[in-house]
Amino acid sequence: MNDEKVEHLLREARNKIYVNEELKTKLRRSLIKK
Amino acid sequence: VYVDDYFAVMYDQYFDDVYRYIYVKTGDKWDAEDIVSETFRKAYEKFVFLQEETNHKAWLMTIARNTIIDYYRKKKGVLVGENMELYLTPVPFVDPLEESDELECLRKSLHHLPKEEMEIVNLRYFTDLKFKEIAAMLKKLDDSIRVKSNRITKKIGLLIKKCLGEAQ
Repeated sequence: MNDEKVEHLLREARNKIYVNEELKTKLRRSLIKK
Repeated sequence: VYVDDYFAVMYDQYFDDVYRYIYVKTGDKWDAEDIVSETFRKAYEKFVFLQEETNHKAWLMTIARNTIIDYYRKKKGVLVGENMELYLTPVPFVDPLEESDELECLRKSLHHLPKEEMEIVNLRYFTDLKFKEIAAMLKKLDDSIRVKSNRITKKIGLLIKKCLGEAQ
């Protein structure tokens, strides 16, 4: 499998990891007081 | 207030990358989220002392990496180093119900990589760091990271090919 295809798969895998948006918002509020 | 403004910019810009870096390294959503929170708390406390020329992203990832080590040392009571790896099941992106053979083979291939190589893959592809930033974090030369990263990509390609049954 060529390098480009491997890199494409790695980026696809990255996009399969979903960030917890609720944590992102809550933590932001708890740290930044304004 | 100014400090909070600058911190907020950094937070919004890099939260997703920090999250993915930690999640790929631990493979556990709950542990990852505890560690993400702790990482940003530490970063917030130290942010005011940060030198202007410091690369924010590499700095955050270094805090994240150290926080992972501290977390498992406290939680499991294990020695830091090789033993810690026994408690981690990294590379959690595949859902067996919906993934392609190629992604499944990628996941298996990543499990075959030595720790140092997986760290470079994580920083380069899952965390989206530049070679220069990875080099700064790992205290290596840019070119050395670039060459290693290219070799690792080829290695992964061969492993995937083998996994897919295409190897001769």
